[in-house]
Amino acid sequence: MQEIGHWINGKRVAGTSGRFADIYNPATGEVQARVALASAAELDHAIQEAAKAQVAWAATNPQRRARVMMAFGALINKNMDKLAELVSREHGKTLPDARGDVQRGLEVVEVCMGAPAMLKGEMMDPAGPGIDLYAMRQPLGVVAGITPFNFPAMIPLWKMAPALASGNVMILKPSERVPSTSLLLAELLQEAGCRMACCRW
Amino acid sequence: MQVVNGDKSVVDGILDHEVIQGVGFVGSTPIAQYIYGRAATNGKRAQCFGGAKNHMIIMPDADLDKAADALIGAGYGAAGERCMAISVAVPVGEKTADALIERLVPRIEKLKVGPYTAGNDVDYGPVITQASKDRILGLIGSGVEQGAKLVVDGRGFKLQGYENGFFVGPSLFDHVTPEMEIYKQEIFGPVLSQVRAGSYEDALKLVMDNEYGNGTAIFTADGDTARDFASRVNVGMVGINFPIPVPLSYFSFGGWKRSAFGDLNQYGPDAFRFYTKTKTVTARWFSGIKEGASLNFKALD
Repeated sequence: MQEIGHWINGKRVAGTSGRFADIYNPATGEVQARVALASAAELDHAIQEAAKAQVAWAATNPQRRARVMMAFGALINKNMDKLAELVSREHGKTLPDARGDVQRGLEVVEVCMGAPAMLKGEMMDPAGPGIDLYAMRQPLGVVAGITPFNFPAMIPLWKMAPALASGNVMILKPSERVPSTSLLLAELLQEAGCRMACCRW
Repeated sequence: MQVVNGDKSVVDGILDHEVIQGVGFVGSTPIAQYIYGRAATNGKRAQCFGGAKNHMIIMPDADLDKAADALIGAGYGAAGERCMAISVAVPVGEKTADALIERLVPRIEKLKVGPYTAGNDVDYGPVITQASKDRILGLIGSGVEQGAKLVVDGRGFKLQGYENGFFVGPSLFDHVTPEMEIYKQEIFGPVLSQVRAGSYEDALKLVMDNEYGNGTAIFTADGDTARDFASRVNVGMVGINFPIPVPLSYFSFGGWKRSAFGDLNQYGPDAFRFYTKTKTVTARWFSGIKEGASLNFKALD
């Protein structure tokens, strides 16, 4: 039986809670894998590590973050069939529909390639004699995405791409029915240059 | 990014964790409201998207073949497991309603239901769990009991070799009324309900009175009707001769009413507002020491 764990600090790790949920093959009704359910301690560890990485990620030139999105988009395209197959295998939707699932998520990644233009802020000149008045947009910090079973690729991408491009780090909790697509997306994101525990990007 | 798998205890752990600053959620309406409330109580920013009951109005002047094609795709695609699925068809006038049923039935009978491995001509696959299948079958039964006309019955669907799979055949109801459970609940399965409306205003009122407001559509050849509908309807995403109006990624996605909790939509410009906070600086410089000029043209990093 395949056992699916978590993605922590840039690698797949097994769960330690001893609790699991079954993942069915919806076409046959058989259990095809099981996914670890994280404990409070595992979640806290993931969040604390993410908070450490967020400082450097937020300080990264927004264009460099955008370039990670460009590489991520290219990798999603390259792995389109693999992603779609994972979507279909756990969700049950047809392959053409699964490719649409990935595609509509990819389109949000594409918009995030231009994120710096959305993050510029505002300025008033002059706001008074010798006075500058300006507003900047800063990331929230560590944010969470909690996503449903029905779009295993699209909705995680809708959450992660704008959050990351804006300088946040994300704790993604996908539906326990369809965890595999999110784990592959995390791998591709790392390959694109979004690495945890790294201070120079 | 970290991926943490888990169940409700992980969700609650996220909602109560002081480091987490924002939460984005998509799921059912009761959970969306729960997450929004708990996150907000804990001082977090939250945008939570929930369920839907998306109506498509079909005007007498609509191209009914195109409307029927659209209803098949939007009603049965992905086994109806989409928050932007059309689950209610609202033809205006008895003649339109009869003509629509006449076009829907043969199209439904042609649908190929099967596993994704059976080839690219499969129209849709199984639903997600046995519990989901049981719930859908129960709702179809309630529709029959409450007096709707079950024109196509998908309950008996069987596929050789996949007897234990979570497949549900396509079902079509006619003469559905707003008091019925099949109308009130989001079925999230391959079930399309037809509610007959006497006039455009009646059809519009039905959409307006529904507790959900994710998506809606109108099929018509009349620009004035379409424009009136788009302007007045209290739904977040509107299709005109377009059944699943999920906005492209440079706009943003979000429903109204009980389909969404929070202020900003997902993706597009709203996403950058959601995932950033504004800091406003008022600065005054009394005098400056001018630095020597730098003649090099270089990157800012």
